[in-house]
Amino acid sequence: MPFIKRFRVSRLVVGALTAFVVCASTSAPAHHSFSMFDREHSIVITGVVKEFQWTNPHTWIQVMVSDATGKLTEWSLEGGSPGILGRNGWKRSSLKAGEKITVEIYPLKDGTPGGSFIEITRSDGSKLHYHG
Amino acid sequence: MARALLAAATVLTLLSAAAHSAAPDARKAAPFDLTGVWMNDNTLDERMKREGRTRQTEDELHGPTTATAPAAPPLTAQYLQIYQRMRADSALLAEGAASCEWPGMPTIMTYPYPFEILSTPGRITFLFEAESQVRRIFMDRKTHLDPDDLDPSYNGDSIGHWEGTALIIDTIGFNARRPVRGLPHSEQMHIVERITPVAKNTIKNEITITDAEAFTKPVVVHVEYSRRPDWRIREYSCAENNRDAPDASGQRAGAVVR
Repeated sequence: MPFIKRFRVSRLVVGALTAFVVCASTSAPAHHSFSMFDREHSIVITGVVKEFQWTNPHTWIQVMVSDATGKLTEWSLEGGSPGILGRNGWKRSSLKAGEKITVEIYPLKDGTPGGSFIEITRSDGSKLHYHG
Repeated sequence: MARALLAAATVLTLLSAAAHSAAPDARKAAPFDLTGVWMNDNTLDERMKREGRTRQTEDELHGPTTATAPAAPPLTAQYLQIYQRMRADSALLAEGAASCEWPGMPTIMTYPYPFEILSTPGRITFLFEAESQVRRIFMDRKTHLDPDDLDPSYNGDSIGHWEGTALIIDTIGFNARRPVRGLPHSEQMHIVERITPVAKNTIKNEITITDAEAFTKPVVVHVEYSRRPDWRIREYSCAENNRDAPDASGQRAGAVVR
């Protein structure tokens, strides 16, 4: 009975040594860490939704942002998977192309036009949140 | 031809019935009903919803994560070297760059995604949302696969039995591709899970991970799950749109539009 033997050994080891215990309260992040975002300083951008990518492993909101001269820049805003956002009240139809939105984001540290979205305010004032 | 097929089918049916009757224990009603959709209660999103928050706390934003190195990794000298090499390799990648490789055991059990448990004769099956993964727990097998058949895999070969209302799952046969709580491990890793009811709709899993080659002491992980009768498990393939995948230079290839 190789299984029984192996099992007993492991139980003995557990008893004999102080185990290295980890509580899952520091829960594994899904897919990747958030270290590329500046989570000390959020910024707010306003623009028009080009595309809402309701996909795994992450959702993305592509937003066209105009500067003072009218030059457009495309921002890529990353969010949770459809499963995670769906359980936070989102639908695949939550954002539509052409819609004007204001978004609070944690911007990318490297200054490229992207970030992790926190809160979205639609033109009618209603809000969507990544979390909660 | 049709008659031969019919005869073969009859023989198979008889054999299958014989196989089932050979393991009557495995067909006994489970002492605790685990069927249904379950969710890790300690994920960031579950905690924030429970507390009615849409903002993360300072600790959540800047506190330790599982990616943070433990002060004294419980590793043998050989695996301490592997650990240092692993960290040096990942430092070459852009922050946040991530492939689509499966999480593997035991990470899949602490992931922020729900899973559904099915109970069928001789088998308990976990169907995960993350990567649409599956774990098959063989309740009708007392021993692991023979070494020649034990292919190193992400989720291993699992056999289970009940001790009172505790479901004990013993798993071996891992590949060494995925870290465990940030630590490297060998193919000798052995995981024992003890899943016990806390309440009718809450269970806890005490996961004890030993590795004679890599770990100097067992790594124990505790996780609690709640039953979510109204939840739906979605399809999930990371390969669908992984814009965080590292390119040849380690950068997050599709993260921004240039």
